[in-house]
Amino acid sequence: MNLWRRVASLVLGLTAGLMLAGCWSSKEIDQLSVLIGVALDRNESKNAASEGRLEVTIQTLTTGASSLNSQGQGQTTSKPYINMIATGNSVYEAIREMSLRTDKPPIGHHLKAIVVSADLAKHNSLENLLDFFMRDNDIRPGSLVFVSSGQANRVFELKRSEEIPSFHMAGITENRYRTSKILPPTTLGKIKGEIKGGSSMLLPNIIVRDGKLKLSGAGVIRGKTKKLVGLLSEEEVLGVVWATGSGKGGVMSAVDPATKRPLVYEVNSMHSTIRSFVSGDRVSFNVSIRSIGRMMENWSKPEESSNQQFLDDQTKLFERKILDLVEQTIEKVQRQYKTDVLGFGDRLRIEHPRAWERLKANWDERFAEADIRTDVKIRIEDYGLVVE
Amino acid sequence: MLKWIIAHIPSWYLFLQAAAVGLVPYGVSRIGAKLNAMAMFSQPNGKPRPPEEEAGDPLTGNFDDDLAVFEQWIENYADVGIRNFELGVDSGIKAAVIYAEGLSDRTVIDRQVLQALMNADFEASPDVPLAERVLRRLPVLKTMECGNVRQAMGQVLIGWAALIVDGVQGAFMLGVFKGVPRQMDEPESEGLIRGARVGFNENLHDNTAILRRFGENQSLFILKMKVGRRAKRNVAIAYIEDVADPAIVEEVKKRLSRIDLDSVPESGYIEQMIEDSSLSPFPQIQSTERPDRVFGALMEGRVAVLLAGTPFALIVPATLSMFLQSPEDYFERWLPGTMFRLLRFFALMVSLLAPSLYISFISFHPGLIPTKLTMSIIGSRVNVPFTALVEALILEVSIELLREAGLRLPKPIGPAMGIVGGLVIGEAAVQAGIVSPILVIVIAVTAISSFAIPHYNIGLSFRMLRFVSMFCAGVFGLFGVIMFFLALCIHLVNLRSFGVPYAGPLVSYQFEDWKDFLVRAPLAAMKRRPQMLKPKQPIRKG
Repeated sequence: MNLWRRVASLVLGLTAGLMLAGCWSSKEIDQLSVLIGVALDRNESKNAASEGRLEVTIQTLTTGASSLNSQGQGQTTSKPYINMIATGNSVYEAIREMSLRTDKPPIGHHLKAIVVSADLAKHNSLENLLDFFMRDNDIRPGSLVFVSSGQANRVFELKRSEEIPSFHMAGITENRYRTSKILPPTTLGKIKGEIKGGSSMLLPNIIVRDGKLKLSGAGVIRGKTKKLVGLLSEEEVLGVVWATGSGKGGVMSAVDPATKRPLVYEVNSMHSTIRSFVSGDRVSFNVSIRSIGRMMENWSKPEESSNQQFLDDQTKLFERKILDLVEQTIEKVQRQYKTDVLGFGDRLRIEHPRAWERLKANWDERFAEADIRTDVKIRIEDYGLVVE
Repeated sequence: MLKWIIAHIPSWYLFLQAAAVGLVPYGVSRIGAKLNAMAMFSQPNGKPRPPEEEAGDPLTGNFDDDLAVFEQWIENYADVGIRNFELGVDSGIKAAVIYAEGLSDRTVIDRQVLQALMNADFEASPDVPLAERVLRRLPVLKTMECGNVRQAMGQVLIGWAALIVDGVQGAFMLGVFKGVPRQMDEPESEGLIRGARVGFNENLHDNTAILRRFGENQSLFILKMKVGRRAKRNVAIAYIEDVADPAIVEEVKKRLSRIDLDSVPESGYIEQMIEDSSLSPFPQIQSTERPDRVFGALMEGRVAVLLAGTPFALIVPATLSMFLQSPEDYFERWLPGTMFRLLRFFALMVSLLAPSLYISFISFHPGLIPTKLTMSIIGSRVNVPFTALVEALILEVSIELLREAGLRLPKPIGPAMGIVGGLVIGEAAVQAGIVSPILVIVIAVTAISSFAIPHYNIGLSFRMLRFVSMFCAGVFGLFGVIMFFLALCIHLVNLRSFGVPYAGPLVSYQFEDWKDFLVRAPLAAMKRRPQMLKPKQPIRKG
């Protein structure tokens, strides 16, 4: 039948076409290496083999990573990850350099952490350093960005070998409800906006202490130059968290001046409102911090744990402590770093857009001169279980 | 200005692409339409079969001649016998019974025919015609008269007995069939926890009787037709007269009358001859062994077709959602009914898409797997030499083989086979590094999901389509799977079963009908019959 033949040849042609085309971009998962962390350092070695300004360390999962291997036996290899180092003048160049050394191309979908050494960030704009990560469409905007005050690739080598450093880093930032010394997660997506918008920001500082990771303070990035201007200590990060009210929990301790013994307040909620005031070219801000929490440890006068008078006195004590902390922190970023990392400029932009238009050109200088007042009010609503 | 416009005209290959985007689907649809037309050669366009002329030797009334004709006929029917006798006691009127061994009930012929006629007194009222006298003395419920041998023999061969009497023109046909009784057991393929333990059997009268037993209902109409050219069989059309849409009933009658087949061994033949689209992978008519399912459908305004000799009744029009419903949804309370119905929809999607999603994630989109799972998948696939598609095909084909083999095996061996096939081979294949353990889980979940689908034949459709979607995944990844799914959806919304959209209340969008679609609303809320069936009497309750 003529029609049958025509139809058959058409169908055959179509299927043959499909089959010939094959599986275009198919790449089996076990033929790839999964990139989970990248560390950027300054290349300091002087030998000719390693050219370029950058030393890029990539961390990938190894294939023996799982205990679920084909034999069904739980033989785990010593390390579930490998680190590879390459040098180059740009990040992408260096990463592609790795292809000379491995049969499996790295894929960026699962990238968890990007660590930039403080040394590198001081001399190079973050916009340039992170450009590749922001452009690449495999890499998720949820990847976290850290600075490291030491050498960045040291955080990829831990004492306990079965622990994967990149996952560990990402995990630590999720402890915000336990301590207020952690900044809200600085994801690639968020940083992209801040970099393009030219605002200053803080990046958490990750270091290795005794072969273990520790989140310690933060690096201050100036919006104008996009370079690191300095570091904040852990206490100062605590001040930042209180000033911006961004904490989800944590503790605050104070010493009772009467007995010289400590008291501990646990934060249930914290909230901060920044108001801006403009008179001429003078700008001033009012930071009011509110918090509700509970008394969790009382070394000072255990017998008075439920005494309202005592609690009111302690409330004052904690308020004073928080106020000092916040004022010191603001003092430091204002006077020493002259960098607005607390979002004061943002408030001004929202509340006084005209003034902001006028002032934004050299906002960091204006900010350094701004008058900032802080007030703190906390409420101890609960003192836990006590036996009278 | 002109320069500016010219600068923005795209290059020629963009136009080519645009043309292809338009022309390829058009071409595909044309091809589809042509193929469909070819596959439907005997259907909607076919003419009703002309009535066959019933010619044959007429029965004259002369006993010896007629007997000779019968004897000549039965030469080739070893199973047909003739018994000569005389009516009454010494009346001298010759008679004979022609019967088929096995089909006619011997005790009935002995007692109700021979005994009755031999002992009767034929001298009593000589003015009444002989034919009338014979009939009066026959204690048989079903009788009929027949004028020619050809027709009479046809009836004898399905179990009637023919009685010829000297001096009476034609033959008396006596309904003395022997039933082959079978228990109306609960059907194995459609078991329920709660519900009547009754299933159809092979006897058409038993089957129509079960439908009658659902309750006194004068409007349950049961019409009879015959199908098959060489081997004729009874087929019954059942519907509720004041509920079912007359257009649907007419359509069923029309399509049944067009069937022109030598024989109809099973209702599957009817199903394939009257369905709307032969090329569709989906069954467009529901077949079931459960009377409660049939009765429920009748009450909604559907039409049932029952064929003699098979326990499978057909329900038209069918919608996709019907195949995912179980009578138990209604017998149990509405909350569990709803939950399990949703679960079945989920199982359907899993059984269709799970292996293809595995393939596309493994070989195209590693970024879509959670990082921790990526680690274990990579670890488990290190020693597997095949691509994900080949790996999945190996396992999927062996599972299908196991299933097919399990059907053929004698019952006591079945479970042992399942253990050997499923556990031993699966485990060994993983050990040998042919497939990865994750895939074994995926395929097992797929198989379990496909068992959760309450209808065997819709399960078959999705088992077939699963392979298509796996190939799409192997070639194009997730993009291919989505394209496949879209094509499937386009086909589904296009499909109709006896004028009713196959995609159920979803597509013609009768929101009213949704109360019995994904969820099963409380009985108190289901006041109306499904609107998509255009019932004559839309109110069901209250």
